[in-house]
Amino acid sequence: MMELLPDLDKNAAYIWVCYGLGALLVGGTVIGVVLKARAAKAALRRMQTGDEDAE
Amino acid sequence: MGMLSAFANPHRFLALSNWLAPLFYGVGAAMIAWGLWQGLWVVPKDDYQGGDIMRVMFIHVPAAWLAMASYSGMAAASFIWFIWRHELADIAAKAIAPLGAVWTALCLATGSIWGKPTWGTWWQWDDARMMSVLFLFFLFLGYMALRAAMDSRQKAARAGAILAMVGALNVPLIKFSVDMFTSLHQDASVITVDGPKMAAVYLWPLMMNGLGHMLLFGGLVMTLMRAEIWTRRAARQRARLLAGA
Repeated sequence: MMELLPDLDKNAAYIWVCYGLGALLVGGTVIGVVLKARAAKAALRRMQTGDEDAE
Repeated sequence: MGMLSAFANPHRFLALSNWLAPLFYGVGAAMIAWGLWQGLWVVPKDDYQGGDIMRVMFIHVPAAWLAMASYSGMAAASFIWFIWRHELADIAAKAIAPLGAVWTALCLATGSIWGKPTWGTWWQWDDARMMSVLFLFFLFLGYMALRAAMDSRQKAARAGAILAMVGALNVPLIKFSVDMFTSLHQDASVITVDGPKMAAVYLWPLMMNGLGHMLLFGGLVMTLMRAEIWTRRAARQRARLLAGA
């Protein structure tokens, strides 16, 4: 059966830092971008609703 | 050019990206997960490449590919805007910049971490590969700062496009820096004239990771472009409301 963590040599710390950094940067970017898009869409909706109210 | 114009319609782009972006996220994430699982658990360590540390390759190399590809994409989009003034091309260039900066930062950081146990140093200031990638990172930051400093959208697009196109000269310099100059960095082993020099057991997970990163990146670019289109529409709406008030 596959081990939960791979058995790495003396450089394991360097490898885990790289993978952790990758997960953090890429994961953080995905979350940030999706939130930004949601905020932009909500702002447009608010603006359109306000426009209709004004009319 | 006709096909390009058809896709340059923001309304059509919103409809297309509505299903294409989630598809890119899903397939990209699955490919990256498979590639990383192979890279960490399955492929044997390569004692010729320093043992297990070569597993950093599955993060570092896709990040390096994306850094160069994203800048090339930003420069191409800038060129299209500069010649044909397609608004969507400017939106694409603007969307690529922060994402390109993130992947370039990842490339620099993982390369530096890989370098310490392999070369005995985190960084070499006179190394052409390292410095040209660092310059690429500053080009992304400079592009964003330049756009932000302009007082109109047209000026921002024009100044950004010129910088992106001129800075594109750095991309071939990065690619061939290891051939033209003495470098700690190893020679190209995947994208070469004679084909990949890497064993298939490493090449497949690497290619899957690379393709996965490209799809994920593509999905992110589309999402940021959608956000920018909505932001510009909201701004136009606001201007219309103010004009009518």
